[in-house]
Amino acid sequence: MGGGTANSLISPGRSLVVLTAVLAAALLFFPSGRPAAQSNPFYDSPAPAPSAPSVSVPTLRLRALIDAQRTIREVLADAVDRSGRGGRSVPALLALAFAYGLLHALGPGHRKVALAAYFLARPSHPLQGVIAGASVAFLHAAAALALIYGLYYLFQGTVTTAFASVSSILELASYAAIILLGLILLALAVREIIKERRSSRRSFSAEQVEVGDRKTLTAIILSSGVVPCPGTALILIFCLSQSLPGIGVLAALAMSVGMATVTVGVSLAAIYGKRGILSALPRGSRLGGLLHHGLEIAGAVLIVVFGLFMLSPYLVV
Amino acid sequence: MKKAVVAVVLVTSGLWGAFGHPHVFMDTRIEAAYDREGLRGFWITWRFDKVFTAGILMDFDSDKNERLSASEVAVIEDRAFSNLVNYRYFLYIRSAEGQYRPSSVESFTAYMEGGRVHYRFFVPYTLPIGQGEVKVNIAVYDETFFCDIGYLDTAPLLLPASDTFSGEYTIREDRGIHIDYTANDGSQGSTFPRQIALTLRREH
Repeated sequence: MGGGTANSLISPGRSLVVLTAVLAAALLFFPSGRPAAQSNPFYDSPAPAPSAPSVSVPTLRLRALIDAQRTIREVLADAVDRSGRGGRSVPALLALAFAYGLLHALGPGHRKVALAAYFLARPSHPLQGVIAGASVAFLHAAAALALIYGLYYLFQGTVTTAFASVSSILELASYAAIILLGLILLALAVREIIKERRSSRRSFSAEQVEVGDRKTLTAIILSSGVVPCPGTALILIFCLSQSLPGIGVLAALAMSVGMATVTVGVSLAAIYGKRGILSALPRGSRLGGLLHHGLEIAGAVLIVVFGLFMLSPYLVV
Repeated sequence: MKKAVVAVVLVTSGLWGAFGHPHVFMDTRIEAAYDREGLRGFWITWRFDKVFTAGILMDFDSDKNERLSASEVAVIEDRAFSNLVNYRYFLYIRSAEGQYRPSSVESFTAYMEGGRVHYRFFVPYTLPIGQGEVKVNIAVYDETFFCDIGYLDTAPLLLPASDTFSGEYTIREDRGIHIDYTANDGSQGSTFPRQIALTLRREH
């Protein structure tokens, strides 16, 4: 079977087990039941409100970390307030903003699913994971900064209301772009399979995988990061309310570094995880090739399904 | 195989919805209201966090005096409260008569206290109290988890002084209900609401 060496890390048969495990794990933690976009419930939104609690696979519940977010945001608000009166140093405030960003990004959101699925779908260098993870986090915060400050200085007043409306529109556009990207990745994966079938290359070797795909990498960064971060937006609004726009910019930057720590971690985990699976394949085996293509297709399908799932509340009449 | 398991865990780690992602933090106080027959409803007070408060003041405190006038409250009700009807005001009221989720509330007001904005409104809910005990469970939670809603540490539930009715309550986590929410990126989480279990009885 295949040409696997004696010290091949996993057998072709186990390749199928690994692929099944990846898909099962992805499905287990992927959204189930009723989709409900998480938009600000106090303001009108194009997304319909949820109608009834759904029943799905319960995931980890870490009340202590939610409470930590609550506490750290209150402390951060106090620190901003005091910094305006010279009572607390800016470095301490930035450390709090970093910690809040970190905790905030550890929760669901911030396009971690899209990033993980992308790096499942595309062969990538770890540096690309760092770039994508950091870019999405910074763009996420920068979008909030541009929108909040733009609304504040251009229109004065009704900042939070307008932010909620614009965010919903950007989210809708983001989901549509993610679906499109998923379809493109799916087409690329299928094209690669067809090319291999036409050529004499019918078996897989990890060394043959091409790394580097700037277009789709840019697409995942832009489509994911364009949605402004509501957590950053609220901190910015607080800073503006205290007439501390400069502190707001610094706090947003520190928060985005905290968020980037998580998104970069998720991206690297996906890249190294996939590499771990592929490097464990017996060289040249057809089943190894099946696993390689299977992961790419699974990642692309996951992106499409994710986009459709998140877009669906906006499409319900 | 151990390496493969680690790899699978790494690959799928980004897909896990680990825990909550709230953007608004608020605490609730519930006050029961009686009429001659028994319960006639609940006054609900929400105290919001400082950051949400800043947003409300920025948008609706038009004279920037950090106090909310009647006209400003009317705008808040229209622009930053009325949409909650789509969420049934985050309220879940259960008694022997079944679950009730309000589709309208009355007497909304908003005010500043302790540097935080408060919302207060009345939820009509009639429940006759005859002989024997009447049990009512009230849970307040946002199933999308945009808001993390707790109870005020001091007097989370108030029972009005009455010669006719008396009661007591406990606050406990309802493990029978999951709040299963989906965040912006599709990842999910679950939490369990803390509900007030209220027991009421007629004294005379």
